[in-house]
Amino acid sequence: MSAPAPVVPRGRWVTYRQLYPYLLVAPALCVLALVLLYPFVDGVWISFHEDTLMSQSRPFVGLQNYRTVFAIPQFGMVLRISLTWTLGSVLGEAVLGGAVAVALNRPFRGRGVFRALLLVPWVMPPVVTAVIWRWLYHAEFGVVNQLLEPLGLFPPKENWLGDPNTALWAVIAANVWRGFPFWMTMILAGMQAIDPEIYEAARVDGARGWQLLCYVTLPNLRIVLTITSILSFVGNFNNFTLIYAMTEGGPVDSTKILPIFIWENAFKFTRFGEAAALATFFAVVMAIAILVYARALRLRSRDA
Amino acid sequence: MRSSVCSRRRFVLMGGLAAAALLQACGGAAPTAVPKPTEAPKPAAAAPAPSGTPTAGAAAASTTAPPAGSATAPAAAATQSAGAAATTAPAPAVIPTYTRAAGRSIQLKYWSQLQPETQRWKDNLVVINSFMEKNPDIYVTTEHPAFADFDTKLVTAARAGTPPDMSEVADSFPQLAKGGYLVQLDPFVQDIKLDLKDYYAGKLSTCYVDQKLYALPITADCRALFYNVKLLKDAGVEQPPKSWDELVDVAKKVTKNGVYGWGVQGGNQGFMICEQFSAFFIQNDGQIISDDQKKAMTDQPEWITGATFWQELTTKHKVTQPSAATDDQNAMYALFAQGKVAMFPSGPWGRPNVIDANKNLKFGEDFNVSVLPYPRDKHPGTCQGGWLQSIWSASKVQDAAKKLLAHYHTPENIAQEAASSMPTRASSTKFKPFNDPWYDPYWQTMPFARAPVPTMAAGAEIGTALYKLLQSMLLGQQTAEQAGKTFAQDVNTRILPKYASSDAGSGCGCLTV
Repeated sequence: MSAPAPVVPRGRWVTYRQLYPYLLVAPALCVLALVLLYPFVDGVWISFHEDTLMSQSRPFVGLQNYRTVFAIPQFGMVLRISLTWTLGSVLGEAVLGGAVAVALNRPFRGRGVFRALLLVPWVMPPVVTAVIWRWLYHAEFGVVNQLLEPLGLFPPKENWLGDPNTALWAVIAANVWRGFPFWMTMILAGMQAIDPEIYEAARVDGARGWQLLCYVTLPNLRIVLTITSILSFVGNFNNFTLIYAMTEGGPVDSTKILPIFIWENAFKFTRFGEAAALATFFAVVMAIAILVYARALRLRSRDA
Repeated sequence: MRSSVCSRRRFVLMGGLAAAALLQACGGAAPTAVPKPTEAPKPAAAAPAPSGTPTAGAAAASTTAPPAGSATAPAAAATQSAGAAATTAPAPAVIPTYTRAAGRSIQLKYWSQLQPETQRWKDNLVVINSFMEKNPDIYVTTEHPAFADFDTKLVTAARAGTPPDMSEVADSFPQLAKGGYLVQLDPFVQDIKLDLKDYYAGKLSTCYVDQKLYALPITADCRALFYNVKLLKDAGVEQPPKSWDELVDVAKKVTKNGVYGWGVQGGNQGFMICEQFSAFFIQNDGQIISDDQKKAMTDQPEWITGATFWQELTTKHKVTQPSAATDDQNAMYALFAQGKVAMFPSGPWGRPNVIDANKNLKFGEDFNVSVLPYPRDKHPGTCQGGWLQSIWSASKVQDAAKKLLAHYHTPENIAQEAASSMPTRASSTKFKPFNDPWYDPYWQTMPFARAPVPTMAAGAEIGTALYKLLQSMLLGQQTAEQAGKTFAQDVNTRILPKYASSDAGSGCGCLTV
């Protein structure tokens, strides 16, 4: 005969039940803390120390690394380029992805094939995308020049990636090509979740074309657009591979974005303290931008 | 009734078959077979040039150098004895198929920037296999981080405390040495009585940090002029240019109808500096940094004259291709092989790479190599590149690593592993392929070749700033004189002071050949 179950006071039993879900997620939280929180805290810690590959000791220097990196003449320019790159990419991807999603939301023969094919740029490794676009933009052999030269709008044999005036826009275009399927997929999924009866009601009220898009589709996509734009902003601001493989930040630093600047300081110049200061600043900027953006959207949603 | 409409499944099947047929038709040849035992090592190098600065490259790869003395016997002896070596080829590039053998108690980790599929690595593997034959207790495993990320991988491993036992080293070498990550090799060199005087002094000097030896060079290369024989003949030129004046003259004659006289590869960092730009100030006795490493010398007339000549080929004479600012090494091979560019500088690895880009080209008939043109009253000269090997302080098998290093640095093994590049020891040049006459322009240049930026902690930051400077010159944003003066001020007031404590006393005379 088994022993009777221990009597648990009612109050303590409730506490245990309250704790139970937290205990279940605790292992996952521990792993997350280990792989996310620890590196972040360690990075912030390093940013307050003089730390290079040659350091025999790593003395605490307070905000010295922050002062040093903010005083680098390139710093303002790198921030400006990073913002142009990110906003240009997000906007381009949203417009192209939205347009394609609207087109694909209508039934037509071969729609499934088109949907699958349009995902190819997104699933392609960024290095492959970079190589393809480098050759497309090549002044001598590139398809872009072969297509544009007959129009006479640009000088012959334009070196799109070699000219500081065009390089950033050229890499943004390649990035838009790579990133628009993400927007397309999200918007398409959002559009297909909109109840057709809402459209029917709007049509009964006389709404057509643009009116349906502006007054039915877009308001119903607000949550999807918020999430997608935040993810896209973070992804593009963090993007390193494509721009590095296409231009290495050149020519003459015209495409040098913050991740490349951080990488250069950390692994090329082995100045880890300064690179950590840049990375911490980068993380704070990202957090503020996302908070402001999310809050603005929430306010607009409440107003609506 | 049978429908004539193609079903979706059949459509997909047909599409798949068509794609397979297309791939088969467009696909290249089968993978290169392992060379037969009787073949001499080829001077082919699919790997990027061994310059000082890594550039964009292939994906990371990892492999294991099979240990010797196990189930399968080696197909042939891996090296030759020194006595039988004179004027004969070093060991044939035979790659025995070993398996992990029992009884090998010491595991030695070696990292190389050479990718495993390249001929240069196969040449190295012969040396490693012969080492394992001689040392049945040591098992060498190798890793091949991507060329572009090799230095990053070394830095990361050093910081993480997980470095290899022995490796090639790159841009971060001075920092690694100063940080205590590498073993000082002076006592080792004395122990094995290695004749350092046999090494090219210019290359050997880059192995010293704070007057202490932390590495040994395995390749030491320089550059020569590749020229398209047919394009020059079509322009009425029988001989390649020998002086700067002739270079401009020939390049102008050739530049017409979409063909450009002079090829610039401005797209990948270290190569731009090393492959061609530095040649022009080195020939003119200019320097980027003074011998005592305390100030920039780009505001001096020797540097400005060389830099101006290089810049004006593009901005004044307009004999370079429109894509100059972005073309990398592979693009340059393609442009030259397709007759779009008539002349450009490259190391010996350029020959097989040009032929790879156009199989119809024949060396000697369609294109050839000569000494890179230099001022009439001066001397030849180009950048000196190459790779170094170091042993890591954290290694628990340093004795085994030292044995491998000693094995690598016999004259015949240096000749073997550098068969697709250039050797670091004078006594290695008697072996094939280095005694082939086509190497003559390189041997004429080698005594004057030197590293563009000396071995110093600030080297990477100076190199990066220099790359930016060169691009601005190439784009005509500023004259060489303006650029040189701005650069000198930036280096003297911003970069060098940051490294003042770490670079103090590290003057190794790296720029002295």
